[in-house]
Amino acid sequence: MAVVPDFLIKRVYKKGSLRSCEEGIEFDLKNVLGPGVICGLEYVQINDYKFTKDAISFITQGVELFANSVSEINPIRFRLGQEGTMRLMEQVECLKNGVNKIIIEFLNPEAGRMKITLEDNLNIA
Amino acid sequence: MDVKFDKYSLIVGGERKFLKSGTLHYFRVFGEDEWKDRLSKMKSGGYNCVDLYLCWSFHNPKKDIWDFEGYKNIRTLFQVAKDLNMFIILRPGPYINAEVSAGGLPYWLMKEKDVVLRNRIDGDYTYSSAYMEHLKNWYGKVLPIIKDFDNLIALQIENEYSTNGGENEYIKELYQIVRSYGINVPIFHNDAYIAGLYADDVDIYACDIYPYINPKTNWREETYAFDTLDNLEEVVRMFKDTAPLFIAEMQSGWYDKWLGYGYDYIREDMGTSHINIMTKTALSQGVTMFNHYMCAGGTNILDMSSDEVYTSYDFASPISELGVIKDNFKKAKEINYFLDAFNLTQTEADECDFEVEQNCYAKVRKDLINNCKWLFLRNFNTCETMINGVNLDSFDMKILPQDLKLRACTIVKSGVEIFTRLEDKDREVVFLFSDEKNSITIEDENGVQKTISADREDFEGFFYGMDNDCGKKTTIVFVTRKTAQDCWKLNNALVFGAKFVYPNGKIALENETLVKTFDLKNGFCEHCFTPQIQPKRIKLTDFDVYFCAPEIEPGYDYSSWKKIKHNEDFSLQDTFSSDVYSEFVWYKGQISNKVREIAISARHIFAIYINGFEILNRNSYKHDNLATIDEHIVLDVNPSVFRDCDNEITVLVQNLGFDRGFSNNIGSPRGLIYFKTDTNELINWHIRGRITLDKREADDTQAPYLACLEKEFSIPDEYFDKNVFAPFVLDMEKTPFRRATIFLNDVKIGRYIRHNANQSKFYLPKEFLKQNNEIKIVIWEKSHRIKGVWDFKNYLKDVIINVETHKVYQLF
Repeated sequence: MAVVPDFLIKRVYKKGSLRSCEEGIEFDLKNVLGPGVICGLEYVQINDYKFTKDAISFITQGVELFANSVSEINPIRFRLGQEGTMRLMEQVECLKNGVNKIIIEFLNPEAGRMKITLEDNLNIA
Repeated sequence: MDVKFDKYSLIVGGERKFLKSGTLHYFRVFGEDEWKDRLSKMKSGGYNCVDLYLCWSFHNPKKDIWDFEGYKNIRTLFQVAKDLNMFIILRPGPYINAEVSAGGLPYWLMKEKDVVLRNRIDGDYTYSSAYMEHLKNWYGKVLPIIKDFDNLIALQIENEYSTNGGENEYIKELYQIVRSYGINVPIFHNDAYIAGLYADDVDIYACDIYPYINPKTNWREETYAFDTLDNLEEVVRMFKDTAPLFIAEMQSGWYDKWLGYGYDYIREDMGTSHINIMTKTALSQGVTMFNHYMCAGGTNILDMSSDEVYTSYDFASPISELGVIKDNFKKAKEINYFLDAFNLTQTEADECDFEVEQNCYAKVRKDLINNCKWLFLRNFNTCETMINGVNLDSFDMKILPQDLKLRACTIVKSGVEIFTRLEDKDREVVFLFSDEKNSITIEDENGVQKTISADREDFEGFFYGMDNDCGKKTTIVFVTRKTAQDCWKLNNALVFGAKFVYPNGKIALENETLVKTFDLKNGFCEHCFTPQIQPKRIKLTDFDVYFCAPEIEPGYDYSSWKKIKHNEDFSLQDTFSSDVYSEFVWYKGQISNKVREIAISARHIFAIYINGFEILNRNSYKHDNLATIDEHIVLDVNPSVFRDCDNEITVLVQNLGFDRGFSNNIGSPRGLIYFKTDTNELINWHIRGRITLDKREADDTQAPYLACLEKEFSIPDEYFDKNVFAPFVLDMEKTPFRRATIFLNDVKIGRYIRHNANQSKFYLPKEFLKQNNEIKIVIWEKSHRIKGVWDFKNYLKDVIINVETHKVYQLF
């Protein structure tokens, strides 16, 4: 099993935040678990489409961090209570009305490769 | 015992109790003498409780074989705590983690039919009645014992448990099982994720807090790691608002791993700041139950350790593996003594009406018992910083009284901390820490306020009240931090200058020392003591060298060994199904002489012999991302090792323990995992555990690969005197070999792997050390230049190993 159980790690995702934006797709995260370090944002998959590092950024505390620059030397420190937006910068028709499947794979320095699988409805507001 | 609780604290026999607990692993600290020593030190250091995991596999090594005798006698252990008037937090698992092999679950359980360990597979909840039956049997052995002890104050079920779906049936059932034994103290589970897991299924919600888990990062810079602790009250109150805040494992050290940094490094890195900040921040959040994990370090003997950790489990803890008081103990002692002096069991968060500097932390708590406020100030800057008029050194934290009414005066505000207080019916002496950068404002009984500098020498004092027999009296006395470090509180008296004291009044000293005592009746007194016992070093030379492991030699009869299956995909049947759980596992079989290449994977260290010739000796251990990593080796085989027919292959594998099971499956296989030749042979493997230590004279026909050094030595009587504390170690630092297993009087007390661990000194546990001893050191890794038996024997002939005292304290 993952170091943090699935049902807990899913709490980090803000339900109902999946949306289209000018650059592509966005959704929001909030760390309600505890301080954590991400030393690699490997990919994000929406339904059948996989967004690679080049197309991913994470915007938090007014700073946009690009996935291809996140590393053990330059990790994301995701503090308790901290919020952020994951932005997928590719114009792809992968979102659908109704339930969308989202997979996020990232690296943690202690636990290694971790994957969150979750579902959300498209927010068209 | 009548243990109740409300949202503030435990209430024992109608009295609020602050629980100051520390963990001791009795399965790593052996026997009654050492339990008395460690618990006595804890008691003298102000702890009022000991936290004890019970380790199932330690008592139940084989199915239906139970062992609660000698150094496994938990009844004796509980009695030691009771005699010292200490509470017990009991954590009988069934799973305990604790970096023990398989998290404390017995190995035999892994192959039991229909058993699903901890009712989960890959994190998914999978209820197993068979597993529940076995664990009921375990609970049935230990719960009736603890039920006889009225110093039990709380009991934990499972440990750091979770499933992918968060199912709670298992925890609820454990709760009911414990209650069915008539145990009526509060039951808790400790949540490693601080996510409110099972908060509604237990009486008291408890959690782990470990901000320091990676010695590679600088915890003084990575301050975000304290986020949870800094918000603990708010976070936990969302889950449970009816029970006291309880940190079941509050970090006071950290374990080192194979390929780690070494305990000297971790101890220095954490310093005294870490335990100071951890404990005081917890208090600032209203915690009234804490447990320093670990309080006393220990030793992984036998096959206790998980694959992650080596022999020493010092943990950089307040009391070291060898039982020596360390600086973080002294810091914890200061806080414990303060908590003894002022009851902080009923406080509420209050408004913080002052500005807090960057990287600093401040909390105010209103004390409903002492009718005052406490300011908790912390400085995480690399320089001295002023918060609310108080100077704080870098990485310091202080607890400061405000409007604290004493017998004959009031501390209006203070930049200095209280060390402790002695009091009787109408007198009190309050000891404060000298502090050259801060002051204290005191109001006397006439309402006159005076601010005085705290830049004071030891024992400078101020008197308040009427200096006659009637009326209340308060004396304020300053002590420097340095003096407080070696100060011990004992029966409403203080002893200054001792290395440690026992609750029975015995004072431990290393050198000639002028010991000062203080009590309310006699004031200060001085006594000079001169220890006579000197440090001791015993040089072990001229070892008896002999060769062991005849299993390597061709023609060795292994027909009685168990057969295991070599699968079509060249993996091997696991060792559990053959009841082989030994650290060392032999594999033997026949191989054709056409083999030119072998692909192999084994956990964790192994050697391959063909017809008695070693063709590879490999340390394959690698641990990363919280799990061991398999290494696949492909090697060429020199055809000259083969004979025309009857070629025999032998593989010896040393496994360093099972996974502890926190984040991975426990039963992952050990031993030979995969073996494939270029000829794709499926070998008819036979296996057996343990290495053979039978004494054999050197003979040129022997395979010179495993040797045993044997030596007898004696410890002089004086070091066994009850008034001497002198832990002995075996120093392997200057040995030429790099890998060995150490036996003291036939008890395996250490694994020496120079490449993997920063440990060259091995504790000789008092329980196993006698006046006359025999040490055996089994070596199976040597220089490649050594070819034959005689070379090997010569190589080992001049080995010098010291047995020496680490410290010598005499008790007066």
